[in-house]
Amino acid sequence: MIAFIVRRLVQAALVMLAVAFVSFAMFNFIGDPVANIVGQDTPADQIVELRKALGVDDPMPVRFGRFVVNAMQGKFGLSYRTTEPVGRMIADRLPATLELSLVAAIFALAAGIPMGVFAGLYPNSWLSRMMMTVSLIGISLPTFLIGILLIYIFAVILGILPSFGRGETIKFGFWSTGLLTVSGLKAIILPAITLGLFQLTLIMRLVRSEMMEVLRTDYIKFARARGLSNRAVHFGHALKNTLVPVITITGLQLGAIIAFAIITETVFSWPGVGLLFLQSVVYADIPVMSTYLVMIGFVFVVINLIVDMLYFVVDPRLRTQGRTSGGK
Amino acid sequence: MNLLAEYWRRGRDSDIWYSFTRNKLVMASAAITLLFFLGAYGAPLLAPHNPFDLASLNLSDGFKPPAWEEGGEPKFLLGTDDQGRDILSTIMYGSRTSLSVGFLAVVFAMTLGIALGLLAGYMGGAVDAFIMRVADVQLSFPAILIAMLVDGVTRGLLGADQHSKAAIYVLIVSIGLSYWVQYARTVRGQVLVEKNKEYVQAARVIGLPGPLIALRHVLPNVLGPVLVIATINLALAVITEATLSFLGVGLPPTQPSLGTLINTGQQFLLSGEWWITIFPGAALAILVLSVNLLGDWLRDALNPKLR
Repeated sequence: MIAFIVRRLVQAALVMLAVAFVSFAMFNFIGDPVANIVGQDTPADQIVELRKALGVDDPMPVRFGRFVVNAMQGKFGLSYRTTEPVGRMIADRLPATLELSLVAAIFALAAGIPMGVFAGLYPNSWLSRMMMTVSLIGISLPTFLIGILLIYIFAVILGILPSFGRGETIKFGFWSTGLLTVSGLKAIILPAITLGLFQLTLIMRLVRSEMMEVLRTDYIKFARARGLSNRAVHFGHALKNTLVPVITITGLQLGAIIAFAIITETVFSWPGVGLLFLQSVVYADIPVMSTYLVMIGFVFVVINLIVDMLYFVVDPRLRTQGRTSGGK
Repeated sequence: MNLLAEYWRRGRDSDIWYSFTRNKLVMASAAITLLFFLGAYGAPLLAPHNPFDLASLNLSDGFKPPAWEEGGEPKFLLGTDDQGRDILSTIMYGSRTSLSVGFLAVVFAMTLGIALGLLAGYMGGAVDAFIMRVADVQLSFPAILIAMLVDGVTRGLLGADQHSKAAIYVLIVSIGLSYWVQYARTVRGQVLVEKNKEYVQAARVIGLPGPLIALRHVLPNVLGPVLVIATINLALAVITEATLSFLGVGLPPTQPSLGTLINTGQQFLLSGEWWITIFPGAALAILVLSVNLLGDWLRDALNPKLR
């Protein structure tokens, strides 16, 4: 198991290095960072000073080394658009995105697993059939369209939920949360549903097909033969055995949720990292784009690692096998 | 003529035709998809108005609701937007742009993916390892993110003016670059199986050069699954294009696609002019759903093993 973890860590480090290089290359070879900061009437000696301060004329390996060292300390340079430090801009907006993603993920799991279990246990009931049809439509609808529809129904026609923003927030040190105020809680409902709906359908379909497969196995028949209650068979034996793929997909989808937050945040004007990234794409604000890339890369790598570790917790069979990579 | 009749007979007797006529849902989605293609590419002939002919626009026609609502006019069936453009016509022209971008992006992704997959599978060794490692890293990021990054980078390289002129090509390339991995993986897997078969060995024995074997003999045998992926990817590419345009990093308002239309309509949603954004949205949803259903059916009909 230790060998497995070490190998995964090395892999993760390599992926991070590759992502860092791409982001560094974007940072350095596209546009002139100095020209992007100074105005037309900036005196020439100031430009020279700035070039020196930014170190844009050093050899490439030196600059890459500096980039990595700075990135590890959270220093990512200045935004071309606002000339603020990028690290701080992102840190300011990170809580909004993380809260939204977390609520969306909890929504997807809390609704998706029971629905999937039900659809797996009673595949022929009309409710299951309806859920499957609706989920097919849910998969086909683009995220932003779902957001617009929800805004139209709940904010325009019914007028019960806000259509944009985060509501009131409370600050705890650097973390600002909207989950403790009424307006904040109301504001998160629509974006979280929009963001989590695709994952919900995915998890539901996955749990359903896994349940149907597990219910056919011999150990379920044996459990029934022992006279265990339906509840014990369904939840203690069947559901537990569907969890490995569910964890894999949920873990990988958590990354996708954070990335798809770009779209949801735009639709709902949610002041998070995704909105910041979109603005930086529109303005070709390369420092912010490359920082976002590094950040998302880091999140994905960490999630992948955690998912791999979780296999060992959930599936005892893997602990004895040692060298297999586990899962599906 | 005989040959044509022969093809017709063969097509009618095939398994695919049988499973097609047996499935009403698939027939409906095929009809809808066909209708979209007709409406989109026949737009200059079929559309009731030309929304991009400035002379025919009249600002006093702005914000007309659909014909069946109070204040609507029969000549604007689905209503008009703020500038008096007919929504039905903009949807038809918009679908043309959306479908073209989606189609070309899939072709680009497919060409790139097939080329790299063939190279990786046939060459093996370090080339294979490198290409597949790049594919792995890219696969761990969502496609939409890759497409946005490519878009932002080109914007930085070209400058905003040049970028909006070349927007449609930039979009095709960025969507194509974000979807090649699936093709490359599939082709590589197939090539690894095919290249040890006897016909490849035979080709090698008679002394054909490697690239020729790969292109003329191996390639045709690995194309089946690729075409199935391409159909499913068409829906994905259309969604990606619409999303990017909706976010304002795709096509400019002067060349509207369905996504651009939804984006420009969104600002009127809160003031009650719902038709400007809901109709293009519904068009997009129906188009994507029918292409998806077609793709799913094609996958099952052509190769049950792929499921």
